[in-house]
This record gives sequence, C-alpha cells and structure tokens, in this order.
Amino acid sequence: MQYSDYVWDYKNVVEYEERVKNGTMPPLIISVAITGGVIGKEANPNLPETPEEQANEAYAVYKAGASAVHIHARDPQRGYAVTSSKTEHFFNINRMVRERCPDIIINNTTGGGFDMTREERMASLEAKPELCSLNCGPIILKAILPARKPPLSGRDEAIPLDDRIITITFRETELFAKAMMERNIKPELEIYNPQQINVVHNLIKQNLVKKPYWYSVIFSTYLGGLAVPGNIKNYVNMLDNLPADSMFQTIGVGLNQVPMMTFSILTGGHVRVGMEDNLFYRRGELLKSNAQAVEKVVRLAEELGREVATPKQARQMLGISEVPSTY
Amino acid sequence: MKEKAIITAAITGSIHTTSMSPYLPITPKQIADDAVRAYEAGAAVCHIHARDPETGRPTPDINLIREIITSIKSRCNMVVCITTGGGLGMTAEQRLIPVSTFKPELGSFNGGSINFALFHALDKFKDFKFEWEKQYLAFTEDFIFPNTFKSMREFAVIFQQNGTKPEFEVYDSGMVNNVAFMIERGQVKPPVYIQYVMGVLGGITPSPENLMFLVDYTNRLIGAGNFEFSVCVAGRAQFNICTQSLLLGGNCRVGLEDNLYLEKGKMATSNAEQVAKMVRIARELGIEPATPDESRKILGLKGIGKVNF
Repeated sequence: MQYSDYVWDYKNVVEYEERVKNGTMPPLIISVAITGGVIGKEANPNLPETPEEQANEAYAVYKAGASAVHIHARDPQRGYAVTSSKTEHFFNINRMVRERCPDIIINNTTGGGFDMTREERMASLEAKPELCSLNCGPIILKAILPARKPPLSGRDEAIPLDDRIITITFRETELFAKAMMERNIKPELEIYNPQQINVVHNLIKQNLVKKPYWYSVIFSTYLGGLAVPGNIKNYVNMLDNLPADSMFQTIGVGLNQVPMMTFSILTGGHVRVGMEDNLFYRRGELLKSNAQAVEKVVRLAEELGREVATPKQARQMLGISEVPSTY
Repeated sequence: MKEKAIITAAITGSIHTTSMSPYLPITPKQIADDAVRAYEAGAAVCHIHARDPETGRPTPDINLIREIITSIKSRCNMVVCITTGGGLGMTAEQRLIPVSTFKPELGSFNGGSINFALFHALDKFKDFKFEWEKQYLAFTEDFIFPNTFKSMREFAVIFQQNGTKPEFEVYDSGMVNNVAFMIERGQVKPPVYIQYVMGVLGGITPSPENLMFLVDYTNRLIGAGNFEFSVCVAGRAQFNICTQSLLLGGNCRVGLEDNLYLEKGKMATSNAEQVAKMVRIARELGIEPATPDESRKILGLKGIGKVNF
C-alpha cells in the first residue's frame, strides 16, 4: 500500500456516500500533542512536562490507539515551563519514546514557543524526528500564561501573550521545508487560516514538499494569524482550497476540539488531540491523561465506522519510512 | 451545539419492503413495541406509518394507525408524528385523514414534489416473499410524489385547524424555498420545524457539504431564529450526517424507515439499537437526548393531552 491508495477527493459527494456505505474511508490517524510548549502543569497538573512523564504519556496514548505523537521538549533549566531550544533535549525524549513505542511516528515541534529565535526553533530537526510541524504563517495568541507556583518553577509572574508574535515569514517556511527535506523529515503543514494555503502553494511550486501534503488545520478562537472561529462552515471552506493529494488532520483548540474532531472523523479527515490543544475532557472537567482524549476519539471512530490506523498504516499513508527511526 | 437534541425514530416507513430485513416492524403490535423500545433508548418522537399485517405493504388504513398510536400512548409519553404521505394516488383530503381524525401533536408535511425513486433497490434485492414488493419498487421510476402549492396550502389549513405542528420534509434545497413561500403568504407561522431528508434518489445526496449548504440556505431564506431542524438520511451515511446535524445545533432522526443497518455488515435488529447508538454519540459530544416534554417545548407543541387518540 502507498499513500495514493488512501487519498481521495472528499469533495466528491458520490464517492463520499460510497465510501461511507462500503466502509472504505481511510483508516483514522490519531496524533496526540501531549504537552505543547506554552501551557503547563499550572493549568492542568496531569500535563506531562519532564522527559520521563512525556515518554510514559506517549506510551499510554500509543496503547490507546495513537499512531503519532507530537513532542515539545521542555527546558529543564527553566523548570520545564517552556519549549527547549536544545537538540539533546529533543533527542533524549525521542529516544525514550521509541524505547516504549517501537513504531509510533515521532513528531517534533518547530513552532517552539514565544521569544525563540529561528535557529532555536530548528534545534529539534537534528534530533531525528520523522515528522515535524511547519507553521505556515505568523502566530499570535490572546491568552495569559499563569504564574507557576512552587513546587513548579520557571515563571514567577503571569505573562500576558496578547502583544507577542511568533514571526514566520515566507522565507522561513522555505528554509524549514528545505531543512526537513534534506533530513528526510515529513513536514506537517500547520494552517491557521485560508490565506496560509498560499504559503503551501509556494512550497509546492518550489518542490520543497512531497506528496501527499499533510496538513494540520487549526481551529481556534484566540490563536493564530487570522484565526477563524472553529465552525464547520469555515472548515469546509478551508478544505475546499487544499490542493490535490492533500491529507489533513484537524486540530480544534479548547472547546473547538470535540466538535471539530468529530466533523473530521465523519468527513474522512484525521484527528489531533492532546493537552497542547485542550486541557479539558469536557466543559469544567480537566483531562486526567492524554489517553483519555484518545479513548474518546476511538469510541467516536468506532460509532462512525472509521477504522483506527495503526502506526504502520499511518506511515504508509503519510509516506514516512516503515522502518521507525532509531536513537 | 446545544445541550439537548431531539432524537426521532422513524419506525418502519414505506420505503423498505418486507423482504429487505427480518427486523422491519410490520404488524401494529410490532410497530408499537418497537416505538416504545426506541423511547426507552432515548427517542422523544416516533414517526409512524402503518403496514398491512399480512404482507407488510404500506397502507394508510386509519384503523391500523389507531391501533399503533393508542398502544404507544398507553405505554409512554413520546411525541407521535403521523405520516401524511398516504398511498399512491390518494387526494390531499384522503392523506389528511390521520391529522383530522387523531389531531396528533406533529405530522409530516412534505415540502414539495419529488420523483421519489426506489426502483434502483431492485439492482440489489432480487428475492421477494410478496408479490407487491417488486412491483411497488419498480413503479417509482415513473412516480412523482405530488405536493403542489395548492395541496400544501390545503394541508396547512387542516394542520392548523387540528393543532398539529407540521414537520416539513425537505428533500432538496428548492423545498426550503417552498416553505419560505408558505411563510411569506402567511400559510404557516414561524418558527417552523424542518426535517431535511437526504439520500432519497430524486432528492439531495447526503454529504457534509450538502447539509452545510441546506442549513446555511435555510438560515438565509427563513432566518436563523425562525426554524428548528432535524436531519434524516436514507442509507448508510445516516449516522455520519445525523452526527453532523448535532454539531450544527440541530436534531436528528434515525430508524429502520431510513436505514436497515447499524454499521457496515450488521443489520439493526430494532429501532432502539439505532437510537441507542445515536444517544452514545450525542453524549460523547456533551449533548443529552431531549425528553418528550423537553421536545414539546423546543418545537412548541400543543401537548399530549390535546390529541384525539
């Protein structure tokens, strides 16, 4: 099997009905962003921060049905409060994850966090990830990072983020895509708004990304360049503009998560969940673990007739080597 | 999304024929029992058609309908919605007999004419136990289900006289406009209740984009506050599109009238099984099934005390 066996024109309504009827939707790839590099234990004490916590959490989501795990190494010198800019921190976690999960797809961030230089955000590329996020535009955010009270550390005072920006230019996307291609890393094209599809077109035109183009489509009220509210009309609009040979997963942030991931399951898309995107299991109830979020996806997939992809299937679909990375 | 959604069970309908599933309720007792079990599983509304107890052929027989709905009412308080689809060749007046006789809280009200096609089922089903089945299906290749503006105007009068809320069956986007026209002429008053029926050959196909479009179009034409909607889907995309309806803030209808399956390769052995599945999905999304009384409030129904059965 190869990716082209799984790619289909989801806009074709006749094919849609046929695939639902015959149960031939592609297997559902579940990715989990277990930690993120912005919010931490101060917001949900169950969020994994240390390498050991992250590796254990990766194993739990792997057992629950995830085929990819998205990792931000956190900086021990800064109390694990922020994303690390050191390759060895990423490498160490990747190694620990691989020990526990023989074939899960290891995905590292290149988005990092606020106040990081381009070079710092590229540190993960040398840590042998198989898949890396590639943000297709600048990121702004309206949120206040709460202070981390002892025993947590790394941020004594609350920090408002509403006047900061992660600067991502066209040139940077080209640099990142080129660096990934040279290292045989699959880019995960993160799109926050329809305009950013043009950023991807530019990468395609310059042969800096390979088919199938793998997207994260992000829905959020307070995150992203021209972020759209997480509603279905915007979703359909966004997907209608994706080039051929595209596959997408949906990231719904906060309260957007459950409705948008459900819609992704029933349209034939894929899903990312995890505490980076949503700290809650349901309104007012914090997640006990990332696996709890995965279990919900698996139940919904079952109800809606989607087989859950194994890591092997996910590798075939994304065109990632079936021989897992070693550390 | 809303916190409550109305789940309707369309118990047997008049689309599937007797030989297509051993689980299709046929006799008044089977239909009533299945409705009550659907209620126990979380359905607030049942949509009722009658069938000939011997052959399973759909029939507008008023005595059979009475037997079904009185049995349901004696056992639970679910909202009974009676079909006005009638039988082939019946006049508007004849099709309205269940409304004027029983004065139900809710009645189906077809929103336009459609070449209601079932003949393509013959590609798949070859063996029939009863003679009428094959003929019945084949006939629909050349059959227009007539719901003209004149008959709809007459329907609206009778529905209003009997305090029955119309459930507009909308098979395609043009029928949204038919409903808007009736509102504009004062024939029906908003808020109206619309059931999008997707996947009938002759009408709109069930896809996420198409449901998005229907809801969007209705919002523009009728106005967001002026309608409540539900979705039903003929065929296996039922659960997908019903789930989408919940995400869009709507309600949904399941049942053996629309889909004989529970999942790929597995037939539904009862309406209740499909209802239970829909309830599980709704709860994953943080939505509770509305009770019959909550549904009455949502739809603005007159109440179970004012029906005539």
